[in-house]
Amino acid sequence: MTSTMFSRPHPRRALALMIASLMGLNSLAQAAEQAGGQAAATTVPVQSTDNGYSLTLKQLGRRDTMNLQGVESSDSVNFDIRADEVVKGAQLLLKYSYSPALLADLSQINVLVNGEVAASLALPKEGAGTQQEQLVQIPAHLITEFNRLSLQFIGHYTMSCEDPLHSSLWAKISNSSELKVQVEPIVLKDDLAVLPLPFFDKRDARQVSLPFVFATAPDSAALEAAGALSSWIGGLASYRGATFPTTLGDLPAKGNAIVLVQTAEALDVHGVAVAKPTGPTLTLLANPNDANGKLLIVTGRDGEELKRAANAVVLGNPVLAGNSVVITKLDTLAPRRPYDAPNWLPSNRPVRLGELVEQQKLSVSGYNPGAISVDMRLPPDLFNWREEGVPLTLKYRYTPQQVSTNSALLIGLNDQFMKSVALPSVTNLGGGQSLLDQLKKDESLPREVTTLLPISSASPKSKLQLRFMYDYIKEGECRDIIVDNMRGTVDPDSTLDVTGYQHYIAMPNLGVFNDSGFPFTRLADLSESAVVMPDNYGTDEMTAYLTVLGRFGEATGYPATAVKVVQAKDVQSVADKDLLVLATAANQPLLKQWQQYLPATSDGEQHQFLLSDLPRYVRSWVSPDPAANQHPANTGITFKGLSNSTWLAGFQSPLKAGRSVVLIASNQPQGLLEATSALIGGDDYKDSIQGSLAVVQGTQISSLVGDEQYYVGKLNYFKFMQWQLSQNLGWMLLITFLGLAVVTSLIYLSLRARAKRRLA
Amino acid sequence: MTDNTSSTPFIEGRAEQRLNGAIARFNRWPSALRTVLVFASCVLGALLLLGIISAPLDLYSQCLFAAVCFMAVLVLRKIPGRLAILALVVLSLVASLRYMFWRITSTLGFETWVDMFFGYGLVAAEFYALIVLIFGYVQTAWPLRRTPVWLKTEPEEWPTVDVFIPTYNEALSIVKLTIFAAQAMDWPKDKLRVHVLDDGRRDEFRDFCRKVGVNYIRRDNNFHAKAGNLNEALKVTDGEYVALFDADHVPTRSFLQVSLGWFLKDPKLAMLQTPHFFFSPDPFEKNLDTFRAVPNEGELFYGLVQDGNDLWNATFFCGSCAVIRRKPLLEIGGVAVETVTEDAHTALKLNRLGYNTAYLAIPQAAGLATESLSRHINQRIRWARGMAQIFRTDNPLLGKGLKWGQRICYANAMLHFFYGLPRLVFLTAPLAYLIFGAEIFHASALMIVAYVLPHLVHSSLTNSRIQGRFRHSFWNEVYETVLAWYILPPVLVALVNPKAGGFNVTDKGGIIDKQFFDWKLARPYLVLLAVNLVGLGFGIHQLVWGDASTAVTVAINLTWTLYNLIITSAAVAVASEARQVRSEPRVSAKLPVSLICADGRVLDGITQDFSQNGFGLMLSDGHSITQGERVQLVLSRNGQDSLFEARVVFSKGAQIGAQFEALSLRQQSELVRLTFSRADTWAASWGAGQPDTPLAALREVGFIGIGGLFTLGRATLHELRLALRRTPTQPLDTLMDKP
Repeated sequence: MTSTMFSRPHPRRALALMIASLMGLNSLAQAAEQAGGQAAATTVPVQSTDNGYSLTLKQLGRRDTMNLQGVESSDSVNFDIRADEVVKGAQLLLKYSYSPALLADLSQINVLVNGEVAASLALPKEGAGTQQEQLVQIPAHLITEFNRLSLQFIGHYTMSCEDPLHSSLWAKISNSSELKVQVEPIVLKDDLAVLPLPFFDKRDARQVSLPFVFATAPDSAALEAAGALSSWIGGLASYRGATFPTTLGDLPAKGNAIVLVQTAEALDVHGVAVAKPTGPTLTLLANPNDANGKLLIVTGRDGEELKRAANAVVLGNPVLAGNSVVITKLDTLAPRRPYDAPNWLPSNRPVRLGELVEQQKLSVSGYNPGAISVDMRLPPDLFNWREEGVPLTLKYRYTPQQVSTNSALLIGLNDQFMKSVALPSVTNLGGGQSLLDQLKKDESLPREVTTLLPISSASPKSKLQLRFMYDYIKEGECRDIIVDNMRGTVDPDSTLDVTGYQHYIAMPNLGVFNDSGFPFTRLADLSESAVVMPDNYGTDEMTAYLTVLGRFGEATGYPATAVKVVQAKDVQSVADKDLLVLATAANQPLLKQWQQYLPATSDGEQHQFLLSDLPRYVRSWVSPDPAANQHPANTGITFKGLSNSTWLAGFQSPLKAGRSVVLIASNQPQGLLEATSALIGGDDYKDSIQGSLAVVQGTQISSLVGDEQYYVGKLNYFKFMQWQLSQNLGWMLLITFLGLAVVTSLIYLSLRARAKRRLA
Repeated sequence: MTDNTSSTPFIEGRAEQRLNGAIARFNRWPSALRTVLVFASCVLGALLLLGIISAPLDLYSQCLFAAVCFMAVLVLRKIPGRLAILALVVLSLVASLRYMFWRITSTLGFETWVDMFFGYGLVAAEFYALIVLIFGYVQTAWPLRRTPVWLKTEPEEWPTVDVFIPTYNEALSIVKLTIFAAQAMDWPKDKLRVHVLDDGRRDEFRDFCRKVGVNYIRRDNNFHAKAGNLNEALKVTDGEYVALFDADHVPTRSFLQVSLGWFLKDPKLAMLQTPHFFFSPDPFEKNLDTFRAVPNEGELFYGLVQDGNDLWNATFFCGSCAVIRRKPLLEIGGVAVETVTEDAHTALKLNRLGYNTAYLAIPQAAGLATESLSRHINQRIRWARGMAQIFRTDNPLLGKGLKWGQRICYANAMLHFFYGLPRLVFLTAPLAYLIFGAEIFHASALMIVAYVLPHLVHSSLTNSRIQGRFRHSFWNEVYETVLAWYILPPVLVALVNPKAGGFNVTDKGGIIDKQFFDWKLARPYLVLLAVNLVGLGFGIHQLVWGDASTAVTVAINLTWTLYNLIITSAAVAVASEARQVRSEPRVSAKLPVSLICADGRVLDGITQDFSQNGFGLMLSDGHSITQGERVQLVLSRNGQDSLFEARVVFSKGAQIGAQFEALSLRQQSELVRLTFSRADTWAASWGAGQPDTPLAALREVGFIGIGGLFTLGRATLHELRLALRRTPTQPLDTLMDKP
């Protein structure tokens, strides 16, 4: 929380900036930006040359500078090479600095690739203390598909007795160090068995950009088919993010694409001949514009077949084979149940940590190994009110030291410290001989602890961090020999149990829409969601639609196989669903129809927005108390001007209570793409989408109103009653006096009757 | 003075009449619909209250909620009638149950073992207090206020009554009074049989009985003490009814006529109890000088609890001043002998067999209260042990034959005596924080106050309204504090092993010839006083020099400690035994008398008080008599004069004291008939105490506490002076009986 506060030290200025940009006064906005000293963040584009690219350590997942300390230490990053590429050469542009106290002839930094030394850098006195840059050539033969780039620091400061953990033994590797890789493409064979290759390769850490090509202007069913495919890719892309530029008929000049063809007859799509389909057909073939690119042709005679073909890809890709198949049957055997998205923590049973993270990541070694990080996605609508936390039952093993004072297992959530569990030493355990005997057989000691993990301030995307910290007690000069036998393991059977929580959340809440696609993703296949496309939608609208569905796929890990796409005129047919409404300019009739519910309108040059105090608050913190998140609109502003305004708004569906509408609107089609990139987010975005109305201006997001009007989900009766009463003192008093009157009268009458009987 | 209906006959107020109107309309509806509606409203009421009890509020809302409820209480307190009382009870239950729900769900996250020990200990004590509070409300929700049923048949058809007067070691001078009064009861002579059951096997008693013409029964063993004595007498008598009087309980003439009517009306009635009324002050009243000003310890029981029990058909037998039908008594095997409180156990057994018991709140007998604190404590120890024994061996919550109302009344009577430990917990709980720093509440101090204050204030105000004339606010704490330490061990022992421990008899009637401080008896209160003072010191130190962030918590605990100090000092004050000069207690009564002087003058006067041996009186018209003169006292009843020879032993203006001289047995009997036996003697001062006002009561208890500290200081100085004068000090003689 502190970091958030420090990153936004001038809410007033931010507000000025926001209003300025709202009013379309770009020059003023720029002035404010400069005044704020916020240099416009420039994206670091992956420098993709014809035959290679370069990645910084930061892009490879190293968020901070590598800090190497002690006589010998190392750190590493992973980098992988796409399956359709082969490495010709690689260089590491290393940016580093080191301690001036090091002995030049003994100290060094080794660059290792997959355990083999690529280079060993001496650390002479001259450059000590300042940043050095060195280009290290990495022999291509060392690089395979999956690679580990390690940087090892060996440092000595004296020839005589040495403290192995002396603080002057340090070297730092900047995370802006670059890895340059030269590759040559290799041609994959046209076999559906390689799916999701080449459209998605998990070895590629870059954002996925996969063109979608519609052979003809798509109808709703074709969009549904495309949505299933884009959410599938989105789910695979996960943290990388995915965009889906859409074209009508034009095949990309280079690279891969998915082509959707709805035809009853044979068709030629810009050089690709599609045979007359006999049913839902899938074909994988080379891009006629680029021999190294592939096209997945999804064909159906009608919308229904096209959808079936798409669903066959997203659900059945592990079993498909051959360069072309016709799908004869695809059955849904069991409907999805709410909250069963593969990416979400199950809320109907305790989940084992082994399900969330690979087992080898649960073991660490060393005196101060890094945190074991368990990524988890909480269902976004867990009702936190008066819940103490999620029971976390940790089973772990550790190496007890002979003597220790402060060794501990630290439990954190999203970089916030939660709890510390002591790791007692053999002396502290006092187990006597039996313990020593046990330790002889197995030198790690199994323990179990149960603790409550407060998740009231945790975002849906959370990270559980477990960190073994052993304190090193110095033995004295010349006697310190670090035997690195310290181990720590968290048993994969450790459980995290959110079953005690109920699903209930105040809406609208664009924050959970942004993080988890909620409420649409409540059913992972989006079977209770519908997308209302604007009339006469073009490619930008379709791109926005596919990208949003890609986000949903990222949230759930499951393709949107049951999403409905409709036009505004058919909106009544999906009245019982959560609606995602896309609108550009004046082509969405619903904007007119639902004007009274909208917190903003943007009609040509006329812009109208509601404002509240929300921007003045720390926005990334969502209080467990819904009342504290209420920032209803208290100002309205209307202005005229030629500006681009893009906004997201949430409100209760006018068609059915308890259903939600999320509106993504812009006065021009490109604006929608701004909105979808804001949803994907990234380093360029300082703020996230919150509240019930958020405005996107380039990379600037301003949440204007937080007006929670209704609730989604279900509480059990007892909790619901408790909650309603505690929120509403008037009701509480009314019920007290009503109850008082009823109960007192009943008691009075029954006692009086009894007294009469007794004296009769 | 009709704002307290618990002491006036039941009159329906405006609210009740409005309710009656609604019910009358309601009763015209079809019965099936009515049943459904009643059931539905029961469910609705229960659900509403459940919601209210369980709804958690934040600090601000809780304070507001409590304030509104408190205002409702202030309004309800002023409304006469039982409906308002019941509304107060329901509101109090809401406040208390809300507190307990919150307490259990939100304040028990203890971190350390110390916290856990103190914390759970306090919760257990609070839980006990809550149970007793709820049961107490059930018990006293509707005092039945039974009125006597007059005998309508001719005296020849009245049943025979055996009057049992068991005695063990009481002096004849005391028992004499009871015997005369029993003989004097208005009942056909051939149907009234008085039996003296002498377990002391004293010839003096045998001779006296022969002389006055009552039956004397003696047995050759003392098995089962009083219960055995009564059972022995049951074997040799055969009257249809048995009336029981302890040797020092003097019945009035009207006793049998008033009591027996209900037996004839209700054939299932097995026992009818009347109040125990004391014409002498008990140690509390004596040592604190509150006789007839503050309701004594027993008044709550006989004034309210027994009357409340009567509604549930759970009146207890109290061993004396009661009438029992012989047949049911024999059916249960006579008076119960398994426990040391044979009386309550006997009633329980009768109730279990389906017989009724009843209570008539008209004092028809009076007796001597225990005169020293040590004996008083001894008596309470016996009751507590007996009740614990019953709880263990014949638990009223279990077993056959009882309605749930009866179970609750009996259970509460027994649970009540378990107050020892909880009381000590409450008296020391704030010290856990002040001295040991234990966080026994896992909640913020203000939150605790917001929840606990309504609980305490509501229950206190509600009880003040219910108990008003029979128990003043805060006195309960004083009574319990005095006894807590002493009844704790016997209760625990009895719970573990009901058979352990002996029986001890309360000997009454004696002189405390000089004021003294009962050091040995006061020891527990002194310890409590000392630790609370230490806690006070710690608290003040923390408040002044400690961390400012804990100031509120410290202040709350300090307030609690201060309250404990007041109560404890009041307990200390009780331990200072006041002088009791007369061996026979004096009864204040204003009766018209005439004096015939030796010189033939006839002077009229009004008695101030009387005893067996003399009168204090005020002469009218400014006459006076010199000391030492012989006079004849004339008491008249129904136009018949009785003369008693007396000598003036004290004279000061119109105020004189006269002592009887050599009265014959006949005259003594006559005297008793004209004084102690008068039907209206005791009823007049029954329930006539000051109604309670909580703040006044607190002030009173506070002053008594200060007085107690003052007395303690003086006694300490006295001891120091003695210690300086003669060393080594001799052990202090106390009146403490060995249990």
